[in-house]
Amino acid sequence: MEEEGYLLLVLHTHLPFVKDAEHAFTREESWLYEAVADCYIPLLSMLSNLADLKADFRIAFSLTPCLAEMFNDHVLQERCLRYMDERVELAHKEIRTQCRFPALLETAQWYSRKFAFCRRWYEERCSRDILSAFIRLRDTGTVSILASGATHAYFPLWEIFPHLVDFQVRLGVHHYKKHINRGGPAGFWLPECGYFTNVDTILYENGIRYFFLDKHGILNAHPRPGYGEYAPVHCPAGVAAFGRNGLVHDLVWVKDKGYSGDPLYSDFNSDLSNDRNEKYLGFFSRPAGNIKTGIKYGKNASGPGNGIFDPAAAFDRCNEQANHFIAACQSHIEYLRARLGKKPVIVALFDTELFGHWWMEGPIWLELMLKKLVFDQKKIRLISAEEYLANHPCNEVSMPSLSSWGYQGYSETWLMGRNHWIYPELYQAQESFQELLRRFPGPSGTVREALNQYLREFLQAQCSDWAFILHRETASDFAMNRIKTSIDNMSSVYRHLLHPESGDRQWLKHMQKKNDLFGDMDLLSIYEQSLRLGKS
Amino acid sequence: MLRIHDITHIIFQGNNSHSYFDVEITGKTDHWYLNIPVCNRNYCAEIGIKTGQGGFLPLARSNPIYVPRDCPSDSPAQSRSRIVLR
Repeated sequence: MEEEGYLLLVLHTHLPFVKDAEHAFTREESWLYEAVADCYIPLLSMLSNLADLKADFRIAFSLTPCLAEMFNDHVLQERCLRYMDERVELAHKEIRTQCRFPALLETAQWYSRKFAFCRRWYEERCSRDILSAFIRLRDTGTVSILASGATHAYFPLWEIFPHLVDFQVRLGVHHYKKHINRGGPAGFWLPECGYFTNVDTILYENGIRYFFLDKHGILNAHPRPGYGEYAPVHCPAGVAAFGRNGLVHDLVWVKDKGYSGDPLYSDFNSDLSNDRNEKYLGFFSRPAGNIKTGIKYGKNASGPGNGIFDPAAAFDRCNEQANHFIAACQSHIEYLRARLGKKPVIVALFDTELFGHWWMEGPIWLELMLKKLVFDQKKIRLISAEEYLANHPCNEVSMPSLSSWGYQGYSETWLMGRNHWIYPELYQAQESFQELLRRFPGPSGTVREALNQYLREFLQAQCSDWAFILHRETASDFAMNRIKTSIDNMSSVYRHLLHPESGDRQWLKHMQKKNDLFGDMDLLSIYEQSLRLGKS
Repeated sequence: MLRIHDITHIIFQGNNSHSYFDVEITGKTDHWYLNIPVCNRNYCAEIGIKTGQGGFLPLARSNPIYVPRDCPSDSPAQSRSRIVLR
């Protein structure tokens, strides 16, 4: 039996550049360690097992260059391993503590096994190199890797400087060619799915042939596409745009209703770091805010039983939900196939951090769902965007509508009362940079290094996460500090270049040591290519 | 005062907008959020001074912005194209 439709899964994999060269194990740096330990390793190990079983699955991961840079950083790799060692140690301590409480002991033992596995996998299976583990999976033909913006700038708020949008894309593609595939990416993840008219041209110029949008970017495209978000449209520039399906997204990830909020699942907020004292927590205790331990005894809601997270019961629930998800997709596809007269493609886009971090059981659900899709049914076929476009190269021509996957579908998450001050400051910093380029034509030596550092600081400040954090008021001091430091550093470069006689000669070395994002790249040469494109 | 012009499909020269509306702001205002009346149009804003006889003296003009549509387009897609991956 031939399939009746397709499921296209994309996991967006991104973290801002949170390396702190001076202070190891800050709470923010531990975002990386938690993501590696709770999401990337469980997903990579699970998908490697599926690939070993010769399961014919497909899944795409976007990988942002700022995250890939952290994967490749030896200092961070070392710290990540230490974090995992500390977790293994803490889990042993928990087993000793809980041996008098049988209800908690089994769960403590389960965490101990989970952490030990994760540590072993990181050290022995992937030699601390997460990026290569993704690439090995890509080489099996089951996983695609998408490029993304260099530091995840939200493009619609940079529309007035198209060369800066091009710079984000160009640097992202350059990074991909250097670290992932010399042939370059065909697919691109727009940060926050942020699209404005003209992004398609910039993507095309950089060799990209497809990207993803939220549903209304396709539904409100002009002229009106005939298949809704169930087929890609071709932008006039010659790039395909796939639209996110809201239905499958909501099944998984809507507060209190999606699978991830099930009462049987572990409660994200019940981390042990909230329950134990400083002395007990040791490594995980930090004056500026404890690091998460990953051990959670509480479950989302205390129904029948004792309110303690029971891994076995949770995994039974994953199984039920995997069946439910597939049945829902099948009936959706049957319905659509009959009405559209062609095989629909359901596009499911999620943040990778949902699977394992926000929803600890997520990787188990995903594994069961993928296995069932591949081995137990024929109606739905998992497909990659490349395969879809190879099988269906002709699609409707339409210009997508400005959109994002943020709150209300547009820009108000990244431009509101608590974060709008960012843009005038950075727009001004861009004008100052242009002035420096006019003052120092054909720069070399220290001047070139200083201009590269300016761009490094600029890229760092552009990251959409800072505006998002200020919007959510979660780690506002940190986000504010990151942007302000970058702005100060740009002013400092400007001052030193225009008044070279003043002050300390080590200033640039200090700055480079503190922020070494894309430290081995000549950012200016890529920036100049973006400028030339803008003028042509 | 802010004057917001609808400049859809025209080369704006200061006095040829399709329509405009004004927003009174005070001297120390450094930002303003606007409700835009009609979507799928292009707008720009001028900041300036209200003169005695109901006139307006613009001092600076913003970049244009596009307000996206809030519903599907009336005209159905009619053409198709082919995309070839490398």
